Amino acid sequence: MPLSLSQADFSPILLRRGLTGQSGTQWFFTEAGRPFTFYAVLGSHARRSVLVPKVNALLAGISVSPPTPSTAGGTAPWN
Amino acid sequence: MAVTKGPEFEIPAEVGARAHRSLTVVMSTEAWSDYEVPGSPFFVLVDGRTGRRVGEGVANQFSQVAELVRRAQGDVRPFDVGSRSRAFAEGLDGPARERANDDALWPPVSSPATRASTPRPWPTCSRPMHHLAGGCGAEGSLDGHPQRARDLGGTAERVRRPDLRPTRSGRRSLLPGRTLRLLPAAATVGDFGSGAVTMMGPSDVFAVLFQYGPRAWARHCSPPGHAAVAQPG
Repeated sequence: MPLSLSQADFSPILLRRGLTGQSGTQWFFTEAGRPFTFYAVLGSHARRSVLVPKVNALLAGISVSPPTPSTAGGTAPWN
Repeated sequence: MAVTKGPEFEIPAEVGARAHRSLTVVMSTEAWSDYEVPGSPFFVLVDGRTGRRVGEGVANQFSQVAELVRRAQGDVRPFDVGSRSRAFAEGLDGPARERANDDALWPPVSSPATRASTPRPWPTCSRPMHHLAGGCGAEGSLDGHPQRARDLGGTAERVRRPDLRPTRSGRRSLLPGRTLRLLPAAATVGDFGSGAVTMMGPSDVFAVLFQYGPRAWARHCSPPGHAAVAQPG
């Protein structure tokens, strides 16, 4: 998992849905043996100096536990 | 009529100064969202007989508008309605169109035999999207459609999606050590923020941590010609 993102990691062209003024980033990684993608959008690319630390604060607070049978690709009833 | 984004993105006085008296001006970010306008100036070509959109896109110059019209006309000629997608034939739009397209593009691939029974380690793949090529997919196209996620073996980490709707009491702040509240999201809010990012203000951030199923990981993070997971599951 990316521990800290820089402002340069965010770009308007990386948005899943391109909206004027916003920017995003997406990372693929494994954590605790589980495959993830992390996707983040800034409400304002111009304010990325303020917003990127918020994303980093979120990343710093995430911990991923090792896979269990319920998280390792079984049928997902919620879907 | 001219539609700008709402006062949270535009300065009303600036918009008013540029508005002609004979022109109705609406300031509504919701309108941009409802009509799925990705940027401006946005051009839409409407079939006057059916009232349907037959072409659209961002056009900064009139030559670009002409090119969009030419392409739209070219798209119409070789096909009849019956050969088009269900979304087009049924006049679906917005999230309904997205779901229909996803269903068509991502047919069910799972079976009991391919589903995991025990967890397996995964190969490391930690690269930003714009550095990905080939097997990793530049768009990260598993954009969290529920049907698609189920077909690809999505897992229970996303059993509840965050309620992304801003509240009067203030938007949630993402601070270290604070537990994020997970609430059911509206049906029109996708895991990757479709339907949610348009609600964001300039001081907001949106983030999603999405766990892939085995098939998806093998498809998106294997080097070309190499399987990331020899035996999915």
